[in-house]
Amino acid sequence: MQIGISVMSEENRLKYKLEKLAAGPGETGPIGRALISADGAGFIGAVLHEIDETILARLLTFTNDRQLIVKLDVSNRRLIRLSEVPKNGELDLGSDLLDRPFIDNNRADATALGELFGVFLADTTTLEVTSGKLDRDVAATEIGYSAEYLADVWGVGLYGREVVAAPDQLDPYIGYCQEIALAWFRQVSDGTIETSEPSGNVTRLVALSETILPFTDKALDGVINNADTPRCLVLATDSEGVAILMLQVETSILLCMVPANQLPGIVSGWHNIA
Amino acid sequence: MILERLDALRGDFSECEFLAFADISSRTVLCVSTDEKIPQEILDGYCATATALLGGDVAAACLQALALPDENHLSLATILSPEQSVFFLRSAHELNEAILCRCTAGIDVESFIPALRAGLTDIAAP
Repeated sequence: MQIGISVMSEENRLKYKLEKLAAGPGETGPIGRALISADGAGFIGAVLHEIDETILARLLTFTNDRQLIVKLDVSNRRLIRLSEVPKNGELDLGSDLLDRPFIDNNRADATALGELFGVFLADTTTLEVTSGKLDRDVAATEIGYSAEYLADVWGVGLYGREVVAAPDQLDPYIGYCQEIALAWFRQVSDGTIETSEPSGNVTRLVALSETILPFTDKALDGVINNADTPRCLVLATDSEGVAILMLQVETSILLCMVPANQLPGIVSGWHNIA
Repeated sequence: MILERLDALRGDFSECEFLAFADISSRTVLCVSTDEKIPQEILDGYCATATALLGGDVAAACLQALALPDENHLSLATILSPEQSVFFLRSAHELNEAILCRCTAGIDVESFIPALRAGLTDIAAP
């Protein structure tokens, strides 16, 4: 009987929530998005990022300032086919590659693709990207090119112009976190361990470091998918009392217990790192 | 109604790129407020991360470290990368429900988090 009541309650909850959702205007907003960059390198990184973020089979359409269009078949985070280039001859570089499945890594083809995008993105200030359904089956042989491979061949960074603070630039911030912490534990890249004054809190932070790291690394993949990116994670409870702060830079880690009300300073301090 | 509430929240904070209302127990994004279409893969990733951080092994390990009884819950996860601040706020009334959001660096956390809490309370209210 208890189970029956619980299930009904859950059904009602979902039904109620769906009714509330349906009460909205149901507008989907613009399909696609516009990318803006000051230079071609930024766009090249953005194109690679789009490929890297596309898991299901999709047709990615890129439109530049001159309304020229390049279409890519992308599946499983890999570029599997160049399916359209402008037919006015401006992008002849791509004609040999058009509608040819990319079966495995071919440096010459990948280089030609890079040259194609170099011409396509030259002098572009806004690049429109849309992702649509791919109206064909993908053959098992269409392995294609990963974004990492293309970035390597094209000599660019996969993550474009992302600003990554050097580890020593983070030292003042690490000092700030240690200063506001009730207890802290730090393991630097050579394996050296430092802690605040020994206490029960420190003991539990050490234990936490042994259990939490594999889980957070995997969990954060959904938000920060570059393992080299410095990241700071703060986890707080309803009680607004003490929060757990984890700061990870390459292989160094700082775990702190901090007052939860310090979150504004933690966030602004992080983004103020020079 | 939910979308309107999310849109209103985002309207008050220009640094907020998107706000999503999700059922984290089923890892389902139910509603998104944004100017630009957010790829489903991104939303799925955010939802999976929120579920992993606010529940499961990470939450259990954190509550143990904080020496808090099991009936406590993690309610707020803040993820800071060089260019973004990401927040996952779980409803105090409906533990399965959460707001997921991505903001640019300049977000004023001191006013933004209370506004998020108020928005989530409004959404959960009958």
